[in-house]
Amino acid sequence: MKNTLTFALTLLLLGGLKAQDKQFAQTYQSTNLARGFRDLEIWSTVRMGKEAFYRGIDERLEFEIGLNDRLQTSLYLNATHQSFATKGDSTGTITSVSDFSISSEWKLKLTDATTQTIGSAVYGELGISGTGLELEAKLILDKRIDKHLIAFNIAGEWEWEQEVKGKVINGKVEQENKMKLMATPIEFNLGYMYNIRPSFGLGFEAKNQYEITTEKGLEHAALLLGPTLFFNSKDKEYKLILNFLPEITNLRKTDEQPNSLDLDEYEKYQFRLLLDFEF
Amino acid sequence: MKTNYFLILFSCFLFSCTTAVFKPTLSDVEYAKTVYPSVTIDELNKGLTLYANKCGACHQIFVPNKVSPAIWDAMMPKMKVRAKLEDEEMDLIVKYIKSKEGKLN
Repeated sequence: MKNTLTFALTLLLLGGLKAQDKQFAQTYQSTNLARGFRDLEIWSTVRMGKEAFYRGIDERLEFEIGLNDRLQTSLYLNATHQSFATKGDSTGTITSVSDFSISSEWKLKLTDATTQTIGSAVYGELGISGTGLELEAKLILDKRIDKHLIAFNIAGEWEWEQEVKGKVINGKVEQENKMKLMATPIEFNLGYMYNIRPSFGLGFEAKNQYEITTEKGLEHAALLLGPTLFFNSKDKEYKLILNFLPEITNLRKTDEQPNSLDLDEYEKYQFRLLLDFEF
Repeated sequence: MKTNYFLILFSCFLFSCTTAVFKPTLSDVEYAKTVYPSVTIDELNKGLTLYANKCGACHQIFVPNKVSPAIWDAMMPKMKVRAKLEDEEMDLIVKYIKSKEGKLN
């Protein structure tokens, strides 16, 4: 992790960098990098405020490249760290877990958000961690009219986890490994940005999440909504996007989660900082 | 319910309007022919696609006739280098931009 950050900081200090036309922290736009253009993004997300104590920090380093004017691909290095106290535990123990993964993203631009009636793109991402596998598919729609930018995403995910089962056969323990489909969450994202200047915009982003597990079906649902700030340096060498996303309401109230906020599955607050460089 | 239909129709109208200002028309071809006698509408369409994909990849693109020819002339050589445009691509984008000068606002 230290090495990747050093690499990112070294690139940060290099001159002649430019940033792509990206304005949201949570919602994807149909815009792609032009052929041969490369881009480095550093994503930092802090999530906090679940039942008992919880803090999660996600770091993503993304290297993107435009393969042609409509297709781009990228490689992510992901690190997640979570510290939490178990609800109802009186020992005061805080548990910490970390997870690392890599993922590959592919985005195909179908139509342009400015010159055509509606911008659109399809997106696919495959992620591999130590114990799991994730596949994400996304439909991206957006429209830019003068200073207004609006984007909408529908995303579906398939999450497999490694399962190891042990059986005692003739006095010997035999282990069986298999990947099991655990969840198929669905997410809707909506983003609106008003560009006060070409280099500065203010808007909001909304995230509607549904946690669907293979065992229990729809278990959790929540709506998150908050402001987004976008800043592009004068010479477009770098870009900064800042988003604050609090949970607004629990959309799936159950006997286990009767409260107005679902703090079992989702956090009360999320902060995301996205730094973007093109080189 | 009527209000919803009205909003959808109004949105479609608004979206179509914004698209129309970019699309090359036959009158744009006629205007462009005064500078590039052999220009075709296909070339202008290719120029628009390149303009959207190459220039729009980095920044919000401008409605061509909302920017003065002097500013375009000053900006384009710098942007050619920045966007790593090949001569042929640059030529198509310039033809497209110039074709809209006939409708300068």
